Amino acid sequence: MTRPRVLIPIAPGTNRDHDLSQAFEAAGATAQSVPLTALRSGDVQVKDFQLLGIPGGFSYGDALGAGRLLGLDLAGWFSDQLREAVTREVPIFGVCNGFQALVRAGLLPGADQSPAVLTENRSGRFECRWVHLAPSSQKSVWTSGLTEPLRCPVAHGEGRFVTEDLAALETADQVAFRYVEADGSPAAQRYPGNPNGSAGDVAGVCDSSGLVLGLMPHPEDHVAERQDPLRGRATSGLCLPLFVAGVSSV
Amino acid sequence: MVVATSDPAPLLALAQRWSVGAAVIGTFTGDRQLVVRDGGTKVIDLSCAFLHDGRPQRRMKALAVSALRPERSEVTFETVQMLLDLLAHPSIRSNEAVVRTFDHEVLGGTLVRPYGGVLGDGPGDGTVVIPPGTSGQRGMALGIGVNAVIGTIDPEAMAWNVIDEAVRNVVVAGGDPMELSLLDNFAWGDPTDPATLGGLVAACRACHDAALAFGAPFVSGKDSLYNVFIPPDGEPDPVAPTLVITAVGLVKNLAVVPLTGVTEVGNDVWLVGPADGELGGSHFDRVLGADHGGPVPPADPGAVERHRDLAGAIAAGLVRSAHDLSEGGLAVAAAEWALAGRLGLDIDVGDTASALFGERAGRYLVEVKVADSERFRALVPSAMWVGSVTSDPVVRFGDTEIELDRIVAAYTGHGGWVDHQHATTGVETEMKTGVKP
Repeated sequence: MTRPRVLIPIAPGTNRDHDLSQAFEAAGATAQSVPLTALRSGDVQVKDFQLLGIPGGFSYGDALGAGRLLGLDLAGWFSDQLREAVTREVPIFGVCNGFQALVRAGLLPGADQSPAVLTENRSGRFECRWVHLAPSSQKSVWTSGLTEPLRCPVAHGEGRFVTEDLAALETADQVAFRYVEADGSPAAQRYPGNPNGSAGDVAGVCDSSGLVLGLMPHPEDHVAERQDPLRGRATSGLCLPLFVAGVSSV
Repeated sequence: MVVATSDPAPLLALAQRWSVGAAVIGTFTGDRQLVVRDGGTKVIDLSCAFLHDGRPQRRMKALAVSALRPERSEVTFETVQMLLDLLAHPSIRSNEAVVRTFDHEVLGGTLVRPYGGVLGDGPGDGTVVIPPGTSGQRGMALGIGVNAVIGTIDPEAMAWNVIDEAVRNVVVAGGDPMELSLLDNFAWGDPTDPATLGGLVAACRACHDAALAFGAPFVSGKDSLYNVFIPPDGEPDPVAPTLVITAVGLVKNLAVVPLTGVTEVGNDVWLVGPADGELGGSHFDRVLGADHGGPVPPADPGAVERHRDLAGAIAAGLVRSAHDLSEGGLAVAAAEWALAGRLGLDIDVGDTASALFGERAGRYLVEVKVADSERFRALVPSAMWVGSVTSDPVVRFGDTEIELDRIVAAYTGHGGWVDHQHATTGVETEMKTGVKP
């Protein structure tokens, strides 16, 4: 069987393409990190890939806001290629800065929902810590079959999800992941279970097709047991199934 | 960047691919002359001999620092309160809120984090990362040593002690003390002051001697001098002579890296190194609010053997967890270790200040399964059995008991993080986004 090919576009300042690439490789895909310049020049083309993973980092130094310029790239320069990918039903996964860019580009939560932003954490600080995530929708190809909570780190300063109409998003089953406590109970916007103060404890959302998923935490940093800070104790919440779900959907 | 090629095109293409500005600005000619042109105009034309040797070497005066110390005076203290005060001391208490503002997960290769244990709030020693492309069970251990007190008394002893601390951190993280590299970061006062410069010379001598004793080269460093605050109407106030040492060591087997915090009820606790520490220049004295004399922790070349012995026991897979003894001595180390594992400890080393709170190089607390203790003892002859891991959330030193809750509160209750959270909870409503709380 041929391994599906994942395109991981990188901008200056992207720093988690290696992690994302490793996770997709572990899930049975072949991942390729490609600078946006190579996509602009046409050396590499989106149409040659079956999945798209938009990695975390500080693209363009987060100038004008986290993910803003990368979002403009996606919505402007690469809009034709993205449209072609959406028509082909290519699953797209944006993590952290990638999620921010997808929101800025209008791909998430999508044209049929009121706009959202990922804004400054309620603490006003960048923070790196492990969180518990409950899959809260089966709508997305990325969450299909996921029932167990996941554990992975957040590493962001602008991760607080705010939207005008959260209820509509919930009704449409587009809230893919929520922050929860260790025992699975709702984080209820309490720090640190909900690390950034997101409304409704929203950690990740998908679009109405279920093909596009955005997530603030980094599941790509927990695809092997030894990455777990509880290594040697009670490890849990491996995130590999998320990548396997996405890769096996194509 | 210097590139040994006549064809820079591939490098320039790479730079362009990553949107990095790059241009060829010169070449090495070998004619021992530095020539800089602005367009066609020559703006600099200097001989390299003048550039390298033209400036006369500055001569500075240094005064030797006296290591003589007054006899130690008798002090009274209450063990529980002393431990709680030490745990809340700025040099010891949790820095977790600061550490978490740095991304220590990026690249997905972090094995041991700065804060770990059962709830992620226990202080570790060294950290371990697995750099991309590393094969097999290898990794890299990083340790840091710093002491804010000893340097004001004896910069030479301070340097030895912080080098030792950085090495201990690497050893606890599973690093090989036979394959170490060191980095130095000096923060010092005004070197034109002979006494200040004398301290710097003494610290450098310690770096030299310790590097030879540990078989660990200094590979880089960074120095900052003239750190003196001059108040508008007061005496110049220099920083304490401070040296931060980073040690980098090779981890040869990730599978045996000890955990952060005690792990299992009933396991044996061993103390590696001398039972007593020094109280001169200690954090114990800092809490008491005065220097009560007595020697500071001395240079201890013999500690090298203990580092290597413990590393051997770790390599043999005998060590479940370990914690090095640094600021605050054994009692603070035990409290931090119990906190990280959220288990109790029953330790007996006597009730003297030097045993509980004394500071000294080359000491560790080590958790070993009872069944492995005999083999551990054989590999680490300097180890002394001092107690066990217990299930009740209490740390005991002989007859003295301290509940884990009080330890956690003292250690973590001073970061200001929680207060900050409360102070900003009004933000959501101000945004007027219509989000339901």
